[in-house]
Amino acid sequence: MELLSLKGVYQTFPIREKELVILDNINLFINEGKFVSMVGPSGSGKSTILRIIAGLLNPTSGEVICKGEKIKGINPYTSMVFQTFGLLPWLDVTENITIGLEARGMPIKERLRKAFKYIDLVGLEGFEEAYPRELSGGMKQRVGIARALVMEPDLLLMDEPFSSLDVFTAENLRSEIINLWMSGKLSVKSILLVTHNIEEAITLSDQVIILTSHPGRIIGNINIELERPRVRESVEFNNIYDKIYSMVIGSTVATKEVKPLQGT
Amino acid sequence: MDVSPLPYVEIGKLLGMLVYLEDLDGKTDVYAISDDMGLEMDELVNIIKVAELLGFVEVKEGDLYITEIGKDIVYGDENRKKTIFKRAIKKLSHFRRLVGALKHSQDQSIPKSKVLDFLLEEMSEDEANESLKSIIELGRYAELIGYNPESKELYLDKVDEE
Repeated sequence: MELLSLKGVYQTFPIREKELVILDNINLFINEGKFVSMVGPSGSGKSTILRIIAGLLNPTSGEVICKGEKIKGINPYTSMVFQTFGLLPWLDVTENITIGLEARGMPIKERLRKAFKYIDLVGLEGFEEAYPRELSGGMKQRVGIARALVMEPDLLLMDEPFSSLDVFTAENLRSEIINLWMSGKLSVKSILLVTHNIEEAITLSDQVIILTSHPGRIIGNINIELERPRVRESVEFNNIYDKIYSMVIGSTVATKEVKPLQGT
Repeated sequence: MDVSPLPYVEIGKLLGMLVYLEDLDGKTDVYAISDDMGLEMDELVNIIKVAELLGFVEVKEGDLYITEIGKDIVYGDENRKKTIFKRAIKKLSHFRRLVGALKHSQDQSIPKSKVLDFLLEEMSEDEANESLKSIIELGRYAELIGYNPESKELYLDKVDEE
């Protein structure tokens, strides 16, 4: 079943009397039960697409449809995990996780019940009363993940969630996310992850959408049917890696030859 | 008195190192990791030291091996990981003594400054600060020791639960 679709989405940005095209005719569909990644070089507008899906940004034209509804303003079926965590330093872990529920007007008892469920699921038990300054990057991102999950979205959006973490921490969090996803304990129906790390995309996803830059355009959409847990050393894994890698690199080179880069 | 300094390691890094090691079929050259991961050697050594202390890895002639307990952590869910951690840290002298002291104290909590004083009898100030930080990180994760940053007190969390 289709959970989300983007139809003919354009995003332009005025710069010195010219319209800089950030996203050029983006059409995509996400079905329920899928872990989807978007990969592409910087400037491919992948984070912009996430913001449009979340309703944080209105596209210049085109539409976002989620659960059959045309989205105007904030998309109530999504929540987001950010690269830089976005925690409030003056709130402890539990308060950071429940702040969104509080904004929804949920009574405190209910808020705490939900918070503890997700604190447990993401392994934050024992850290409930810690403040962000006491936490390592990995623990901060667990708070970021719990804060998004507690809203019980249909679609979880993740914007480069592991890229500001060291390799070990990222490795661990990736394996935990996939375990959670496979466990069936989440209300989340689908996940859309933005990353520039192709290996990460293949390790995690059922489907990888490949973007090119300047302007952002979708140039590929690959289904990945490898069994989990996925072995990076396997031939199949490497074949998919090479395929995506050459698409990303190929497109970048081609674009550079045709016209000079615009913007960053 | 046998409380040696406990290096500070982030739980996430320790767990990630185990996942990484298991991905390599449970064995690798210690020096290869450092190159591969872009980690400072000091930090890597601390991660390995603590993992070894807890019985999750073994180091033999420059090679690092994952143990059965280590594997159990990699494949366990969050609660399983925490249970294993708790069992492992309870065996460390740092935690044995702290848990003992907490059990005998009023309302089962002790100010952070007192724990630091206690550690200072055994080691330098830097080492004591680092050990305390590590005790809080590991203790919280394992839900053995809690730390309340408001009252600046360490307390017993769920000590006897297995």
